Amino acid sequence: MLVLTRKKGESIIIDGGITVQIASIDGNNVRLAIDAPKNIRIYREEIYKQIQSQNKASVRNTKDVFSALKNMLRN
Amino acid sequence: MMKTNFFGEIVVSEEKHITFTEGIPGFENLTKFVLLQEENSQHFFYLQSVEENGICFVMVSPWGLIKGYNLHIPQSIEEKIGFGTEIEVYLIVRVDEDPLKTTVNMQAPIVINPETNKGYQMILEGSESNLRTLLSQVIDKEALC
Repeated sequence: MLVLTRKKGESIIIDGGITVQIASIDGNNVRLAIDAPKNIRIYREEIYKQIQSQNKASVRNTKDVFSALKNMLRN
Repeated sequence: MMKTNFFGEIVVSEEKHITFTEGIPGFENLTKFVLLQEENSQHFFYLQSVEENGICFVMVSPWGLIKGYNLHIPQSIEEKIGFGTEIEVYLIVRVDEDPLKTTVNMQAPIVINPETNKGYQMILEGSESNLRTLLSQVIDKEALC
């Protein structure tokens, strides 16, 4: 892993097209300003991980999905 | 011919395979899926992996089923799946043994462009409750027949 030290207002450039700037620092909070092409996906890590685990938990594990649902929908 | 855990052996021509170029979160290595409709309902669909027999998602089409559903698809997503007028939207359902606990993932809708057969799972900003919304609370029961 590459570890760099940056000051407020300084940036790093990733692969020529993505700039990440330290916009502000306030105690434990660091605000990043990211400039990247629109097709680059940027997520907060914990949100991406929540989606990953929800997808994993959603894999169909029973043959009879529908009759239980249908009963619920009818009631 | 492909084997599946829940549909037995099925035949879906390669041109109908839906490509998720970046996979979907949690299954980033799986890029080829087929879309199957539940024969008992116009609202329910399955997204079955071509590459792994056992990976299948239950999905609902929200239009006319989930009260007041609305989704804005940004241009950056259209650039990934191709511009089209008929982009399809699906929400993954987590089926629980207790149907009242069955949830729908409102935070990460699946969008599919049927003209290009490309798909993508969007991740919307929002609270964690949107990830596991009780289906029974958002469904418009009158829409079902």
